[in-house]
Amino acid sequence: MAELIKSSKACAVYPLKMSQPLGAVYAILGVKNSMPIMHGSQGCAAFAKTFLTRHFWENIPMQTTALSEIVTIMGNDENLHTALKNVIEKNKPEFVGVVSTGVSETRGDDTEGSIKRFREIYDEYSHTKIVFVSTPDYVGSFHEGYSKAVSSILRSLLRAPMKKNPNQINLLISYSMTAKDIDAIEELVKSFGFKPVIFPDIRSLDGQAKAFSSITKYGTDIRDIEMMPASTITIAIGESVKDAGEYLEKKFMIPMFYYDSLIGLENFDSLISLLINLSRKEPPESLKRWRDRLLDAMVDSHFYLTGKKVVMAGEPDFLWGMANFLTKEMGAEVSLIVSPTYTDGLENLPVGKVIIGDLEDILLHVDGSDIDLLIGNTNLRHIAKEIKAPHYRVGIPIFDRLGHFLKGYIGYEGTANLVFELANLLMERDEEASYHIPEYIKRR
Amino acid sequence: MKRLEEFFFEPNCGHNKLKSEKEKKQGCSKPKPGGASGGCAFDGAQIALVPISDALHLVHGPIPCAGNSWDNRGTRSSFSTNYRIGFTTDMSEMDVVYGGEKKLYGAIKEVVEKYNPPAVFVYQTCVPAMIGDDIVSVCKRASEDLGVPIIPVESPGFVGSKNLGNKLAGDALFRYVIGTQEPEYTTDYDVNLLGEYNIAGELWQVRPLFEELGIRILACISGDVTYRQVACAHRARVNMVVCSKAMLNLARKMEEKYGIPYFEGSFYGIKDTSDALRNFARLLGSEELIERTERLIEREEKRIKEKLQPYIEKLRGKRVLINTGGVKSWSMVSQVQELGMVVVGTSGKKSTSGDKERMIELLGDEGKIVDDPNPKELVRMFKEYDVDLLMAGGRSKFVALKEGIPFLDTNQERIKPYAGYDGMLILAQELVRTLYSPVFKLYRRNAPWQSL
Repeated sequence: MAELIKSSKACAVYPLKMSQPLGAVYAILGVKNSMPIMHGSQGCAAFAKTFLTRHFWENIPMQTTALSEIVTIMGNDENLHTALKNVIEKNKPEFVGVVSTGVSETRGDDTEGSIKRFREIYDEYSHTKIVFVSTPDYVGSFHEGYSKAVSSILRSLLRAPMKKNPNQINLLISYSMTAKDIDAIEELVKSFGFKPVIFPDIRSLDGQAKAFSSITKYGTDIRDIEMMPASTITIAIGESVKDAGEYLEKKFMIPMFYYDSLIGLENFDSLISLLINLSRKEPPESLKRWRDRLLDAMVDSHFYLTGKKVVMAGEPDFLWGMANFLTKEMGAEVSLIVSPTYTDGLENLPVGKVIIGDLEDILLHVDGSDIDLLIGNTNLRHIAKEIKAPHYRVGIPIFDRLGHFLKGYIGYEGTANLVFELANLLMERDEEASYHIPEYIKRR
Repeated sequence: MKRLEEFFFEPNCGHNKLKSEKEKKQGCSKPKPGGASGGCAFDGAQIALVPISDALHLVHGPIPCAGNSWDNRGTRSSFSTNYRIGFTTDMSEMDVVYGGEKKLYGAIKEVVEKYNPPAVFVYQTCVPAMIGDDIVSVCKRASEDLGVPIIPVESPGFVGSKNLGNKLAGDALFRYVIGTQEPEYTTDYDVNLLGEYNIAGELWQVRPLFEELGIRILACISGDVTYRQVACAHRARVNMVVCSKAMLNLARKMEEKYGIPYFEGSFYGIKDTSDALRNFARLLGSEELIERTERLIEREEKRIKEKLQPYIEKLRGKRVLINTGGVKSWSMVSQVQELGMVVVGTSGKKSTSGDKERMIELLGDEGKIVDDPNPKELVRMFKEYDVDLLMAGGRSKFVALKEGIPFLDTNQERIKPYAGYDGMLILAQELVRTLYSPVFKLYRRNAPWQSL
């Protein structure tokens, strides 16, 4: 049980929080042939687009309703309708996700009603699915935005219960998973003979798109989403998709198996047990081999990780798995985690302190000389520089490293990668430190 | 190589004293074909000399000798980083056919001109020794031509084990280096440490104690030391032999030639550290120094024992198996016993009879001396003696880890220093780290498919 501290500063310094609409957009980009529209002033979309472009090194489909001063004050349907019309005519998406922003929410727009009116007026666009996600900038963080978008998409696209297909499994994917992670879980489920429906499938931004496209070329097919009620179970990975899993459970009687993360041995063991029980099949040899490799990796790495003091910062889904793995399985001490937003149970993580705050709070709450490793997004480098600790980049955004989206973190193989990467950082530091000549020796 | 026999008759070697006349002629224990573990004489010579940090260390031989071994030691230096550079003549087939002396001379000339070192150590290896390259005369000529001491180290691997190589290195220092220069000044409190390699900075953990007592370490042979310091080592008043086997011959010869008394000791553990300081004070022979030493010991022991207390609570009763060589095989026993741990066994393979006597005394009824600690024997002991942790060198590391047994590296590659009072704290921290790591419990966990 950790000490929960809600940062009470008037001013956020080195901000960690990302906005709700950004999280919602992230989920919408995981749908095939989709286009997110931010209902706000032009800058709302421009910042988000730049932000995600820097993170993924990919073109990010995104549009805006470009609310002007007068429209913002007077309020009408026109901007939204024009934006929808233009986007549908020009880009021909199958799916449009409209996310609200601080601007449209402050004005008190009935965006849902406006979309209904658009439907009534423009019958010719009825083939394009439009989903609204309410994400005022001044509430929650990326985490909630993502969560709401995933739920909203399911609620609006799924209608009637379906006949069950015993071989189909829903996989609800956290924003903390990389393209490699999604590959891993897909292959795993397939290797037990199941057909997975992966949603959202953010592999749309993994670099596979070869020609320019103004909408997403990959991601979850809408037709697959519509088949989700037929699945035999839902595997929900990450707190951000728990709500969506619960919705499927209540509405369509699909049992949900929830994992806060698939990093580490025990979580993945339990998923494998589930799949073995469900399929009555032996796992593939490669999986068995990777389990042994992971154990060996953990034993080899423990010299560098056990007992080390770690500070982590990021959206909650990034924190859960990493904190549990590092403390319970590697014996590291996570002295502090910083989350921009509170989610249920964060304080139950086996860490020293949980701060709901910003990156500056790290400097205010720990003795920098006592920290061996920092884990978090690119912005954490400011803190790393200050306290001279190695910094492992995990999270959003990462814009000072390439290839992070193709690294694996979950499962036996991904965890082995993670544990080696962390141990290597500390090994390098230990090695360097051992060549350090003490001051009293230099003075001779 | 006739001189080699001389090393087998080391009169002060405990091993030798116990041998029959016939055994003595056979010399030190030879590596067993098919059952060998451990380095060769060349390895041993390098270990002992490479820490002379501003000198260059040039290996005359084909590539593996230097190529597979350079910069692989945990020794540290505050003077120069020359010692971390690998130099080798990288002999080719043509050199083997026509002889490598010319190439060696060229190599020495090249590196002296490029790096301007105070000295170059040239190591003989098997292949040039077999084809008859005379490195002694090449070094002599190069030395005259270049005006820099070029020291031949005749240490081809086939002459014997790593241990013999240590002695050959000591001999090279005695013949060619020690006594060739004079210190700027001398004091009554000048001492040498022999067989201390400053692994991971261990010398730096004890040096402040010497400084506080006003004892000057003239030369540490060899760890964090310059060529000049070694050359002046003959002016010391006392030698301490830290690694009992490696440099015993050097200590004896220095006693014979320069009248420097020596004692054997160790900086592993609270008691051994204190004893070493006491011995220095006693041999340096000043009442006032003895008194000051006692005061320092009292203060330091009190300080470190307080710091160790929380670790001792976690370590008490844990069962340790130690597989390491020479002086460490007993000094580490007492070191971990001071942390409340139980030593169930220690290796006697590379130890002198003196080492063994100390082991028996320390182990009591609880522990065994393991004469042949091969991997299978170690695995057997893990089970039979309910071992919680193995302390050993890198070679046994994966024997333990593969069996899911926590492990602590005591070898030269390690990067944590365990010497002196402060080293105890680091040792305790590292022991707790590995003993309490959750990875070992997970290691034994059943895989999901094992319960099918």
